[in-house]
Amino acid sequence: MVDTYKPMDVFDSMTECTFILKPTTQQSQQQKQQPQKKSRAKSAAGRRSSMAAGREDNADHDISANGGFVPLLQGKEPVESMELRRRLFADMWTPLEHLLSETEKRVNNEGVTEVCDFVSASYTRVETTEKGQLASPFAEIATAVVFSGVNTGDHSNLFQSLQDQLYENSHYVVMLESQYCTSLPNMLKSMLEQVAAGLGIGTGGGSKGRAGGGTGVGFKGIPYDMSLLRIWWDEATPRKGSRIVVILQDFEGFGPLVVDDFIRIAANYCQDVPIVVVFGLATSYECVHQSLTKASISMLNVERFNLQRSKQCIDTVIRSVFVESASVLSFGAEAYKSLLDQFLLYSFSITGFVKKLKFAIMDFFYAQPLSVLSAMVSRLDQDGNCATFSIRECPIRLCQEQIELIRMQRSVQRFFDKKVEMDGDDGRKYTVKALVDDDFLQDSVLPEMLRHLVSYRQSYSLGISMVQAIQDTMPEAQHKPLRTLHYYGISQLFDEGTHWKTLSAAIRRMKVPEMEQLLTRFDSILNSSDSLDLQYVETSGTDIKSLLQQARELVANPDQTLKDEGYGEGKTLADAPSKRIRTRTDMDNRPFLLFDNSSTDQELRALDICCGYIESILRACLSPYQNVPLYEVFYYRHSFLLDTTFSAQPRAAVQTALGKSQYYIDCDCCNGSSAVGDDDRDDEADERIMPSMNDTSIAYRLHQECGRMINLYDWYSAFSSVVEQESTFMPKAPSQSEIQARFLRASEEMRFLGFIKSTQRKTDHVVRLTWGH
Amino acid sequence: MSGDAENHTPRRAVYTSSRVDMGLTLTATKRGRKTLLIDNSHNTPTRAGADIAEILKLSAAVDAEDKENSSEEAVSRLNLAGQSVYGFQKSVTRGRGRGRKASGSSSTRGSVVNKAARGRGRGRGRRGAGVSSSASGSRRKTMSSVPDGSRGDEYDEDEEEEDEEEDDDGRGVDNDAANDSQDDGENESLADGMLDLGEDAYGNNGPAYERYFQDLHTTRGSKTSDNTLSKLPPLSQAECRSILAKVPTKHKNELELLESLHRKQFSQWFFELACGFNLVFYGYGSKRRMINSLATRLSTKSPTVIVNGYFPTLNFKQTLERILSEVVGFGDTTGSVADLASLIHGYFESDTREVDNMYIVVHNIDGPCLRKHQAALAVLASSKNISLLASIDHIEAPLIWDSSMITRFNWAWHDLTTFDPYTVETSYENYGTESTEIGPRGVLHVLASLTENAKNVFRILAEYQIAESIMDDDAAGAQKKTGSKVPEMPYNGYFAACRDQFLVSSELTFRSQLTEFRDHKVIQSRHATDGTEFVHIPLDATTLGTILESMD
Repeated sequence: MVDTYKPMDVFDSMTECTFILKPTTQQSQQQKQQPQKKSRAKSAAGRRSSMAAGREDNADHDISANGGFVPLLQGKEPVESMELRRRLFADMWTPLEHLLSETEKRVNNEGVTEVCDFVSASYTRVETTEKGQLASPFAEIATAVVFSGVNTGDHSNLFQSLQDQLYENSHYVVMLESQYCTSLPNMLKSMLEQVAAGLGIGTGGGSKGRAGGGTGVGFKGIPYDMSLLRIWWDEATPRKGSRIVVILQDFEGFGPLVVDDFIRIAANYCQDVPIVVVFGLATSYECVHQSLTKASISMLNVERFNLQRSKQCIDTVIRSVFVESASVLSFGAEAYKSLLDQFLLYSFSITGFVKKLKFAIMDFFYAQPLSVLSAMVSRLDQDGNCATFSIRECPIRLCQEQIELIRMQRSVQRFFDKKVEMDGDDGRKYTVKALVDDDFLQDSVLPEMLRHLVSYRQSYSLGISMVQAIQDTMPEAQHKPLRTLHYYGISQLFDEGTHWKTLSAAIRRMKVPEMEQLLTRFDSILNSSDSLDLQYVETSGTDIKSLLQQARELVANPDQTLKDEGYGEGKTLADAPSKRIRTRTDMDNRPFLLFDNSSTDQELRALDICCGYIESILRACLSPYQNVPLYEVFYYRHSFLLDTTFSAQPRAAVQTALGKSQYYIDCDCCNGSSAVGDDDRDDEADERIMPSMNDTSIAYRLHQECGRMINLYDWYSAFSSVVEQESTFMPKAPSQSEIQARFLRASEEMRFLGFIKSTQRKTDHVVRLTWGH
Repeated sequence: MSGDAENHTPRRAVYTSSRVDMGLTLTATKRGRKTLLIDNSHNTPTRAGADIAEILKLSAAVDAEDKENSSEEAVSRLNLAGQSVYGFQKSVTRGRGRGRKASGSSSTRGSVVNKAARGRGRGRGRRGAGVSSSASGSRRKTMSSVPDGSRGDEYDEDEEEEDEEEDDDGRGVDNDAANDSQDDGENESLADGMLDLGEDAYGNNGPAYERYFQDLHTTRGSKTSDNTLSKLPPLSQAECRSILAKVPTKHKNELELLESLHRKQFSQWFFELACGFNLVFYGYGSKRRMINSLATRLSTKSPTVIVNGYFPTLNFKQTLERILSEVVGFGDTTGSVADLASLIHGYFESDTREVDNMYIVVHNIDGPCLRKHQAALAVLASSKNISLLASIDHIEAPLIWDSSMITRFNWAWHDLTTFDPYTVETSYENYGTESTEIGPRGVLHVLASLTENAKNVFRILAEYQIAESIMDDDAAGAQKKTGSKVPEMPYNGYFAACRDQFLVSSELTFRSQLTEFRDHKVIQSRHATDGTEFVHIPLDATTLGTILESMD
């Protein structure tokens, strides 16, 4: 056969599959070192020059300019604004990333320390009073079985911090990955190389280097054997108390036989060389027993550790990032749910969570023209510590379009409406000026609106802390983790949420001393941050501080206060407890009133009023973020983008493209309803196969009507009967060979996409592989 | 019976008729059955006789198949009648509804549906009379279906007569039902036909659910027809390509718009790459043009490696070696794929590197040769200074990654639906028509199953051809190509070479080796005018070189 195949372009070839393009600056240098093979040299050179040519053609604009940032607002955004967005992204993400990794490390640390202590304590001689020190009579390898959870993606961070801490305690660490340890020799090689690097053997230097990954120093021609290890260990005379810690990060990935053999060998040496083994498990502890033989398990001295802490970690992250607003960008209810679902329902992976968060922040600064406003609010300093909020002046003047965009936001319009409503004529003048005068909007109105935002965030954070304080008084089963509380906080109104109702019930159940404790707790929460700006809550008519003060007075001295205010008159202390139940709610929430004689009526009354105060405080603090001006900007909403970017459905995309092409191609010709057929309605229009459709689309739709086996010839016939009708809108009908070629191409594509596969069961048949739409 | 079928055949156009099996809609059948269930209760007691029940029992097992076939047929005819109606299932329903109302002459659809009903009656009759197989029945129908309405009507009458004859020989009461329905002419409704069948299916031999389980557990043979592609004229791959190159693109304007929308995202993608994400593109259509265009732009700043993952004989180790030698500048590297990958990873993590960052573009990261190298790719992708751009096409492709690999890849997914034909990606596939061709992948498959000796027999010929073609290049490089002839080896010389290497001991064994290759179309032979035999492998020298390399 002669290959008549003509390459489509420079990156297509029947013989080569790898092409390397170098930056233009290095081109000349590249020309000197021609590829090795003579037969290829000519074509390769030709290709290279044509590659360069192709590059010039395409270089109409440089996509890497400005780090990929482009002016928004149909290109009308000024360059300074774009530059600012770019800078802001870096300013915001770098400290945030630092904060996130620190949080993860801190949360992991506790468990890591436990493992370290275990390692240090291993192989110590048993102290006996009579004969001094006594070695353990059994040659067992000290083994830590570490359950690290299903979030395998985070494990490298976890084990990295374990490794770091072990180094600090002057142990030698060997990290083994299953992909480099497919057989026992590989495993020993990988291990010994890392030990050698750690002991400073072969490298010359005495300092312990860290051999990462699977490639260590590499000794040629040396048999990798454990006896070598013993010799090294004796020679190197390591510090007292050092251990060699062998970490099998992904235990499930190792072949059971390999580990089994390894344990048997290591058990022979563990008297001389203190080897400690750490198994990292993602599934369950049982895994060890299932994969290893009884004989080898009996050589292990196993201790279990649970290092799965991603939930605590995520709660801490959510507190600092969203509740205490370390980042100016917060998440709207829907986007937050998508973020949380990915975590809870998928893999508990912190990496995945951080990835989505990062992408959202990227999108915010890349695509939101008003993201420059975040320059006016700053929260984090460079080290990732939360500083106080401050409103600054915007470093650039906003352009006309940005100002207009601000005015167009719904929340801003509501802000103006409220102004007019509250301040009357002054408010009207203010509004008119803000709508007409751009400078006024930027210099006075914007800071005011942002102050609202900042103040709202603070009171929200306060509210969540209070909710947690109330939760602490409740039984464990009713506790909700912070991540859920935050979701309720942003998605539900205080009066509507079921959990909020549980909370109200809980405080209504309280007695005087408990209420006193709770109020003291609230006080300390309030006073913990000195620069609290409660302006937002106050504008809605709730003065948190004075309400709390009143509540405290009431509880402290219910008789006096109530009498002063005229309550409690005409009611005597002798009321029978049964009469205290006045309403159905009381019956539900405070059945104890029936039996409780310790509280006086006044006290009950006072408690009731207190509960009312607390509820109104919480209601004000947890008011929906949709009331805050400019929330459209600062509460991220594009959950769809996050879902498509990180939970993509490639199969659905292909099926949509083939089965419902109009989703991608908005054309008139394939819309069935415009064609013949009076009694065919819209939903059936989807089902119809039009000759104007893409060939593969036609083949796909035809194949959907088949059973498991598809006869190629019959498929072809059906295909041709559709394609023939092209003559209705094309100058001429396709010839038979054209139809055949097009059918072959379509069926080949279907095979390539994995919808069908060939079979030997019947001549010229294919098997259908997918079902449903 | 089959004689009749042949009599009819010449009148009809073959290609439109043999589509029986395309419209296999289970729902249609089910719906039919449902109707039966209802009507059954009224009619059965009056009509059913014991002998019929016996016959029906016999035919019960095959009945379902029959039913499906005929409903399919009804449907495939509908296609011809109402030109754009391909929603088979719905069409049937509609047809039934209309059949009741429409008068015979005006509604082609009605007539078609009626035929389906009658066809069922006939098929049953036959089986009842013990006439051979259901397959022949359906085939006959197939051959005799009609391209247009008018002829259909004419034909219908012929059929009716036959049907009656047939039915007479085995059927009693039930036959009346069939005849009745035929006599009603074009106005009869499908529902009646179905009712008729209902008696078949259930008769009075037991409740309906028994039939359900019978259907469920009966393993029926293939329901598809026996047509083969050999009915079509052969078409070589080259012809295919040249024809397809001329086919106009559908929806040209819309696709251009789609492409321009994708192109607008290039800057954003660059930003994502710069932020440490790796990109994976999915969606229908060849994505290599777009991604290559993106890659050429990226390559102005940093070295860019383009890997064609769809390539059937891709050697990933070689790719990594080339990266090491040409980008990183390490010469003479050895080790496994995992070692090389971690070497590259280590280089791009180190602070003292010369090349700041690198882009790797992998078309079809789900390609057959890359499937086992995903772990190595993930190692590369996990480096901050290596950015990976990949495309996937197989609909189940995401399954090749486990969760730790996904974390390492750090993908950001993007929909890049282009509707471009997969011309390049499928160009290595054998289109399955011209049987003298075998792609490099096919050769590798054949070789994989052979003994070491047989492989070496292949190697000798391959090396000979490579050497010859290089000599040809050298000698006649500038001259006109002599018909771009593949070098051939004389049979005797080939045998001698193999014997010298102790690969074969006698001509007999050599023959049998050769036959094996010839059967798989790996080696072809030709008799020259003087009678000497020449053998050759129908592949060019460079492809052979790649095959030899991957054999090691």
